[in-house]
Amino acid sequence: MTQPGILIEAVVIVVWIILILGVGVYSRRFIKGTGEFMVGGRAIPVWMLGFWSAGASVSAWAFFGLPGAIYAAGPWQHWALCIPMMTGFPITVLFLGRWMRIAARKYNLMTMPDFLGEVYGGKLIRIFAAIGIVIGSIFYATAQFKAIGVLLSTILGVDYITGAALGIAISVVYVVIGGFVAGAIVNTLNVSMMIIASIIAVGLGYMWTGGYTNMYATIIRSGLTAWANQDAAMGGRAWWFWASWFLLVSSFGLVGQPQIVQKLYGIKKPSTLWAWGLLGSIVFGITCPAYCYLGIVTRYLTVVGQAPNIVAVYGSPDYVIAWLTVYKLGAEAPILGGLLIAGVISAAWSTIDGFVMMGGAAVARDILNKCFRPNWTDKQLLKQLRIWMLVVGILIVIETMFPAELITWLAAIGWAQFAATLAPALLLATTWKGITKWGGTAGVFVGMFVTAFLTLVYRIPMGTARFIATFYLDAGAWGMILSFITIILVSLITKKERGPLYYEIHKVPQPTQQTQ
Amino acid sequence: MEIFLLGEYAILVFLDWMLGRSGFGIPGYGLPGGPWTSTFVVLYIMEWICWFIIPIITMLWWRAWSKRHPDLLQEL
Repeated sequence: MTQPGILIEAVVIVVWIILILGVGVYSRRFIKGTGEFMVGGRAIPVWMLGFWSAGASVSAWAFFGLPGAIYAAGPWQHWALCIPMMTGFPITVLFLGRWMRIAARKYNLMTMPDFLGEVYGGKLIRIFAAIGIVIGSIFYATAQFKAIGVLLSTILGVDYITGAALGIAISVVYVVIGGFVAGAIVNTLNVSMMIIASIIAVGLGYMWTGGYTNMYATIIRSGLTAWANQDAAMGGRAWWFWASWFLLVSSFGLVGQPQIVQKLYGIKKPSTLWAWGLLGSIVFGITCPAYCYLGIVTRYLTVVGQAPNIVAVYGSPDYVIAWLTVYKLGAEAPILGGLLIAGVISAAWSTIDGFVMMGGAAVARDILNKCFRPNWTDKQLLKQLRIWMLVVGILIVIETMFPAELITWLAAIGWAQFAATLAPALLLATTWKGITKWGGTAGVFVGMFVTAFLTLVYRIPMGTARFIATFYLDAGAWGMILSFITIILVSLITKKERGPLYYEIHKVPQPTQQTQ
Repeated sequence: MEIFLLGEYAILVFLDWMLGRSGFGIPGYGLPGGPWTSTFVVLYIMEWICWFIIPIITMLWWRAWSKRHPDLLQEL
């Protein structure tokens, strides 16, 4: 912390933070009601939303947690978690995007439970979906805040709690004030920074390691053969874990990520959805693998004695990127280090705002307004949105101050919770005529409950090490499978009640007795 | 030759080759004699599909489809 290089890095970060805050405050002038606050008045250019969605999917999970997890447990996680997520963007456009966007204005859709409620009908599906969103938001946002906390505490030489509190305070200011418009502008800047940082990261890593093949060969020669082999990593379970995430949670599960998919409501022209799918995928494909690569690079540096054993020295692999950017680059190339750190912070922020908004909207709009207080004025709803965003923010703060898990696991739990709660019901909503109100409601409940149950009950009392041997991060895959099965089975045996949007999607005449 | 069209990591392998460093990244695994579920065969091919086939082909197809059916992209 006394090095001049680290001081230069700190200056780069402070300038970046001031820029972000300024945009948040400036964006306040665009907020006139919930429409602007939640979906930017449905007038945001598609390329901005593609950038934002990619940033929201990359997050500090990929930029911070995943390199640490790869450092500790092997590069197979890059192919299990990161690469399949690229396919989630086109999958979303192909299966869901058109209907979400063209129905948005008529049905005043702003959230994912809105869409489910209008297709399946009924209040319970909204409530279960909203509960799943709140649970997922808390875990996922905590991962982002923890990453910022670790990074700021390392670079500023303060303790973790102070670093995390600083990151939280900045986020709250620009999200609560600026809403969707602030998010769109800030995240265009954030993702641009992430792309620059990623390209720099790959170039540096390649130079430090003497080539890609040499990097692996050196690591494997040191005895880490299981680390480098998907069949052997994690006691042989990495292969199963890879399959469940590649085939289900990372790819099709992206459809259920409200922080990513809800952005479709904000697209100006429905005909440009393809650009969202392509941009999101490509930006993600450039940025996520780059930081995963840094996890492997740091492992190499440890093997050749140019880096300490991060887990032994800091007690957690979460410090891999913090060490690399602050201590290695702080000494060798501080401006580049500052840019890489800004890339990580940008990745976290591009996600945090989404989660605070999702969590608040899930309670204020999806549960209170839509189910119990339908007569709220727009002004009352906007006020409630801000109040509940603060409440969710406080829950996230509490979780951030006492983080029980590694960053990558916290984020994976949140991702899996969204995937299992929402993705099966959303995918079947547009692809299967046989869905019913009770099928959808039961499926959302099962996905939400099974994943939360496996995560909370199996995980916390038994601890991470033993959980690896049981369900660890496969909870979302089990939730998704059971949710699909439940929707199909319950739909087959229950009354054919559906919401109004169902009849438009499937071109089925609406029965006159139909009630929502 | 397909190796040249793979994803980001395969580009690094290609760069290695250009610099006269032979190899495929993780040596051995997935090559003949190794477990097929391991790294090279499954993962690099998967990377190619996820990088090129799914995003680029499907989204360009969707774009062409949307031009043929502008009526299906009108607000309800």
